[in-house]
Amino acid sequence: MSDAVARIEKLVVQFDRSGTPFRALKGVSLDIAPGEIVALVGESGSGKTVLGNCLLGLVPGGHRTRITGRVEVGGTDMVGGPEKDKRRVRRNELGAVFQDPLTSLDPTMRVGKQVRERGATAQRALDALTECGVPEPGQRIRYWPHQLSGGLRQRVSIAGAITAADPGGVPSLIVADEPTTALDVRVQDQIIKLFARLRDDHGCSILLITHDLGVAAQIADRIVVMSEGEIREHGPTARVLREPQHAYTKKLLESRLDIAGPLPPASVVEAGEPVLTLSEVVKDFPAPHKRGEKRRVLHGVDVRLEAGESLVLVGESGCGKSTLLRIAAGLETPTGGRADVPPAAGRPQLIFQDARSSLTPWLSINSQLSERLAAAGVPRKDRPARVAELLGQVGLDARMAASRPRQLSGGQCQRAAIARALASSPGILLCDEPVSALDATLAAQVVDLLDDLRRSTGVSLLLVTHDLAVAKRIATRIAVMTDGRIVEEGPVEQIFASPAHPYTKQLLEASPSLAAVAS
Amino acid sequence: MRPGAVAEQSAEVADPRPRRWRVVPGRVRSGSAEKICLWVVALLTVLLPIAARLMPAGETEIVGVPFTAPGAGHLLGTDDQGRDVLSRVVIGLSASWWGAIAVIASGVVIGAVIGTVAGMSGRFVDTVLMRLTDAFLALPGPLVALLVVAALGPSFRNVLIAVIVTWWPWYARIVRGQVRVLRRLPHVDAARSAGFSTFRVVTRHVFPGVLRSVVVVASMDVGAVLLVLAGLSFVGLGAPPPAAEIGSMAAAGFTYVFSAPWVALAPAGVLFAVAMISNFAGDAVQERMG
Repeated sequence: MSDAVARIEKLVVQFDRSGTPFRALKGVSLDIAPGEIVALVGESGSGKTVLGNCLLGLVPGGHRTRITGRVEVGGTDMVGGPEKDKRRVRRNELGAVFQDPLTSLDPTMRVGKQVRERGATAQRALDALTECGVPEPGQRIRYWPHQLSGGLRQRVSIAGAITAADPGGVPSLIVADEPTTALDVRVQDQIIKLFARLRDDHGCSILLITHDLGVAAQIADRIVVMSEGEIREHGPTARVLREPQHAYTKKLLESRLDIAGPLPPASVVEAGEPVLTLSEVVKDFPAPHKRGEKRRVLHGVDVRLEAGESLVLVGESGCGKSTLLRIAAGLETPTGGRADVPPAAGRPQLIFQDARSSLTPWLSINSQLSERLAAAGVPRKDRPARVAELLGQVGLDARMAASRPRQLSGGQCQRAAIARALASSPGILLCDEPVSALDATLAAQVVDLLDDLRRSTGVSLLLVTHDLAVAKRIATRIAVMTDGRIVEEGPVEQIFASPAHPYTKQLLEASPSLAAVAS
Repeated sequence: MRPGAVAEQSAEVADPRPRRWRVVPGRVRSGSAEKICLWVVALLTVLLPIAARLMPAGETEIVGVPFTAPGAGHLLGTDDQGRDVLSRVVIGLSASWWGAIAVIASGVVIGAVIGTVAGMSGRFVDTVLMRLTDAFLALPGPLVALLVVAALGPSFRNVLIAVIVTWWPWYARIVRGQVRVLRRLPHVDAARSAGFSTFRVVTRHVFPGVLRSVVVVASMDVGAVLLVLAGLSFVGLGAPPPAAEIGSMAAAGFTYVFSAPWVALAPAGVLFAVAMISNFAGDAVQERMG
């Protein structure tokens, strides 16, 4: 394949981690054909971002990094070649889109200038913005990045990626590193479709780096599965999804939470005591930059959580679901309405999205758990045994009690946080996006852990997520939230089988699923 | 907020003071030199008071002919009164060194309490405490020293009080800024939702996060306080004459700087060296913890 747009041959990248060499890539070879969309799939730490950066000629890690092998884009050497050539290729042949458009756009540069930065004309910038689906581009070019929503920012950064220097020119390769991970489901769906259209209209190749096989399944021609710096498997999308060859791919496919997945085994929940009642909850926050004005984030929300049930609040960012959870936890006071927890139910405990920062960094897991046990009245001599028991309950080795949070992995931190919450023997666990920061395989494990705990200990779950697949796996009841209101509520089977509200339907349609490709 | 955010923030707010207040400008890479300095500082703290007691002559003891040049009998010579310069330098340095540490310790304690209360409180208490802090920051240091000495009489203790008065607000501002960042982190919410008392939340889940940057700044400050103390003593605001103090000794010696240079240069040189070493040691602490 001499006509490949980009070619990577036996690429080895070795970092120096405070003296110890660490190989991020261990001899990776990959060709990208013109007009091809290649999805590079892997979990965090698999080396996929390093690979993307090498294609862009951005050698990570400074002068101590050692690179062997070849990376060519349009025949130019992107790792060993002179900086001048690399710059020319970046300006004319490459486009880059990163995960967080808020940080990848220059906050001091207006949208128009941002898009034109590689030398395109004003008209070209306008066309690119229109093409990327930015509404009213004529006005938006004068906006600053912070004035745009996350989805619009990502569209602007894609517009910047497709406006190469020469007039009308479109780069031959776009490297998109987790371009939709920070976005809501419906926006993610639109951005993915935008990528597909760009390829169809301009014939540019796209390297889509993602952790989500579902996103890959939607547009990729070819899937490349990476782990631990090596390519485990690659092949046409349908083939990889239907007949995975490598054990790692099989594991990824099996562990992935999919909205097409099976419903959890029905659990018998006796319609019993309510453990949490939120009635007509209203919450105002002061509007940013406007003194005296209020912004209403919750418009009279009713939630009734019964003992032993698992209620999942599904909604996109900004719908007020986290605020509702904080009110339930007693961390915020509602502007109007009431939040009632009967004293018998115990204090609701929170599980956070970012598990690591939810653990006090300077205290060992043991002291964080013991502290809760002490507050719950467990006598000192019983605490070590109880700590070990709690850690066992969440699937952590008892030896980890001595560790501090930074010594644990993301998944272990979330397990420790769950153990800590259980130490207060709560009637309710309030979970705020508990798995959205975790890799797919870990996410499934933690969701199952929460489900097991509910079934075995009878603790009630109120879980907030943007991901319908997570909801399907764990919920007995689902409530769909948008704009500070609950628009639909019902048993999990009903929401998936016959969604009533148009918003619920949109969410279901936009959720990436392997079902369409794999079956 | 990302987990690393506090660490970055701490680097920004760690020292709001202008750079010129420090002897060593900029950030020096920590090498073996800094590590050695750290040990020297630790040794100085312990050994100076012992050394002061073991000196061949007392603080005001006249041991020989005035202006004896440095030599076998008196390693650093004698001064205009015939007192042993080495003994006086060591005794004076010991007092200044422990004085500097006392100033910093008191500043840290006062600043930590006020900063933490302000940082954890609502807008009203925070505003009152921080404007009070700003008022103290606006006081011109030397004038406060003059005022305190005028009111309480000239003594080493009163000079220390004067420096503490102008020094604590820096710590209060650092602590308050850090507390305001830390109190918003999820782990603090987690502690609050466990039903812990505010005191427990602050002392166990907020304040330890501040300690690191306070220790870093405090370690950088030892040299600066040492110089301020010597400076005040140099202009006559310190322990009254016969007492051995680095600043006043250097001041007195300058009259004879051409005929008997050792009288002025010995205290000045020792002060320079010690300030330099403690600044390097501060850098070592910053590199390790900051």
